[in-house]
Amino acid sequence: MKHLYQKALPLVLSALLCNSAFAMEVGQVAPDFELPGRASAVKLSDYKGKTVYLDFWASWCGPCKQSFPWMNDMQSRYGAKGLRVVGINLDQKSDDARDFLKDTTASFDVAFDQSGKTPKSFAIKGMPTSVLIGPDGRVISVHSGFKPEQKAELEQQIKQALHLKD
Amino acid sequence: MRHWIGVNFRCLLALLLGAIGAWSAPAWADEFLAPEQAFAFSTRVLDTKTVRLHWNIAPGYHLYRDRINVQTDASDVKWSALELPPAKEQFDSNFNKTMAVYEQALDLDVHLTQGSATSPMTVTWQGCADAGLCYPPDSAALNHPTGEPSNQTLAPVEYAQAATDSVASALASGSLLRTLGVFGLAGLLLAFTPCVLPMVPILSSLIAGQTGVVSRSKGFSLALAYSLGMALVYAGFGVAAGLAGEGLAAALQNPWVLGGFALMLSAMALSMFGFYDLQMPSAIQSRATEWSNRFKGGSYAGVFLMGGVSALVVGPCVAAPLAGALVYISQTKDVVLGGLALFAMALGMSVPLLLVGLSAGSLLPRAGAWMERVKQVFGMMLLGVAIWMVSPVLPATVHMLAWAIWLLTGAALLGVFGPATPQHAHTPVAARASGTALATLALVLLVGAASGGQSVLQPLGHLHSAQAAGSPNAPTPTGLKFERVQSVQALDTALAQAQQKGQTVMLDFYADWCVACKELETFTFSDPQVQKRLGNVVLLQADVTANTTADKDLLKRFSLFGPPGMVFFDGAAANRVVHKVVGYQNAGDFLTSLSHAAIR
Repeated sequence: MKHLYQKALPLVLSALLCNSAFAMEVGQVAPDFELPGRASAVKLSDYKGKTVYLDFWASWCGPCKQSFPWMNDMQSRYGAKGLRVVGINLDQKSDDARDFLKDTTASFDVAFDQSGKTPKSFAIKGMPTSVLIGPDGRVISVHSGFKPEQKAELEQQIKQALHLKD
Repeated sequence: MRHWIGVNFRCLLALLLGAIGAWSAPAWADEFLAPEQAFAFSTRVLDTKTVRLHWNIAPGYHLYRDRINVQTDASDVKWSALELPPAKEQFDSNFNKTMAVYEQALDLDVHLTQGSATSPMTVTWQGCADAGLCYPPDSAALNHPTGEPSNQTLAPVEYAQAATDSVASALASGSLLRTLGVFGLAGLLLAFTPCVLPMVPILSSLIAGQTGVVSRSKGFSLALAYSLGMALVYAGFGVAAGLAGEGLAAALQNPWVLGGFALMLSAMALSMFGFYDLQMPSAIQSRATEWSNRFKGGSYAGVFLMGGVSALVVGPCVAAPLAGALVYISQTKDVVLGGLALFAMALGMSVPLLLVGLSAGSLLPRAGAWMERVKQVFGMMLLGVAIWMVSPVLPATVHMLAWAIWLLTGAALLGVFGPATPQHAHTPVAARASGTALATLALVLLVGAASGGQSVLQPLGHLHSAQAAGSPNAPTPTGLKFERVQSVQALDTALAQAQQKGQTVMLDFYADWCVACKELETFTFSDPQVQKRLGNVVLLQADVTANTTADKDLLKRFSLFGPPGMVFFDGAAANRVVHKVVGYQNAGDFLTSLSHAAIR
């Protein structure tokens, strides 16, 4: 009987799990990167000891633009508690990104990845996608897409990662 | 028998899942389709001067009109300006402007003025999900084979694949109804396993125990009360599993727990053979009756309670689905959803019970010779389940003996060894024949066990291989050579080494007590084709028999709840999991899995 489950249930289970199989695995070490930033280079391993909210975005992406004020808010609210929001821009022309940043404030660190290497190493599907990384460099959670109604849930995850009580 | 169930289970499940797959809804929350599923692109050469580009856009996704482009590097290829069909105007508050978007499907014909429809061109497009995710620009090269225009679609959409994935996204999307639906269906499939069978006589005795004539509706509502009681207990299991954490799956593999469950099943089996009547102690039973008779509809309350108790009795049968729900709950951290999911599963399991209730007598087993037969079949199934449960912790020889005894019992029941009782004196020929077959199988097992065989499935296999090993020409059967990894750190080191060489990695989870792991070794890994395909793959194995913290960490990292499980890593980015196989697969299925993992 046990055996029967071993055969049949994995189907249900793999159906449950197979989506995540292709994405970033929770608990794995986030692959390091070094990219040009606005002032100086941005390197993931430099943030060790901090909780990093890594966000992939592009200038032409509506939901990304929508998430910027919220990310600014998160950085200002939880920066003192050890949070660093890092936005990785994926525009092929970094001028597009700089124009975008003229109209839209980003009060957090921004890195530019024209070659698209980081989204590959993080196996992300689209933008915006955020990866919450703990002080030990391991992935805590991954979230694709952005909708205003998800703000509370995302903030909750950040607070949990920072071990903050309500 | 086991394989038969396995196969049919799979087909049924695939069919059912496929049916749900057709019922797709817009993407939502965390799970989005892969870009090639959101915007399935294909092309068709209509004539020498025309190529039709086609996008199949999934519901809940849209393509931007302005971001569709056709380009070419060849100077001798030109086409008339693209005639993009009118698009839906959608105001985007983020950019404060109106965007033209396509939904559902888009056809775009490219009319060439120079060159032919088979000239090299590149198409790019870009789109987003309504639920707030934008895909990076995607492109496809139109490299039609030169020559006659074909009517063939060049990039066919893999419909089957898409259907399965949409189920996955349905489950992962957290859509309550769909999750419950899938668990309900899984329960319905479980209903056809021996797990639910012991409940049938319990329920029938409850209904038969009612005073007066039981009408159809009364029978049904009693069965419903019983099922609800059962379902609630399962829901409790689900919640408890979620709260207990991932340790539960391992705890359920403890030899004592398995042994206890097996004993319970054997006890039920013996009662089926008529050694004694299985019922609640009369003191409890009369108390319960008394209590439930005190108010109107009290019989329902009693039956409801009995349903809950029955769930506890056959609980061991659902240990594995519990483990599954557990992984799911620990991932979603949603205890309510987990509880509801198991509740739905139990309701699915109840369908045959409801049918028994609905039949209100006509389907109910009544006393008589044939009823004895039915009970004997149930008993045999229960005993079989009991042996299966403990098989991982039994030594191979004892395991073979257990099955031999089981087969002999079956043969005896079929009357092979002479009439057991006078009324069975005229045993039909068919029964005698199948009984003799069972006895012969038992004999083979006994011979195998006596001569030192180690496998129930190939009891005499060792004799054959001993012979083969003796002959110089025969190729020595070699399994796969795995390198052992014992911790996450060791795995990371091994992965890094493989990455430097650009090699794909397969990580296999194994344990001594895991029957399916042994079957994988015996039937799948020994297959020459499998061995050939895995020739260039780095083979790692994690032996999680001891279930140490390091073992648990390894399992946890890949969201597995136990062996067998095979995880495949990309050769280029060794940290990336490209495919997972959970559970036993035969060589054919495994080869398909290897293709999914891009191992050719």
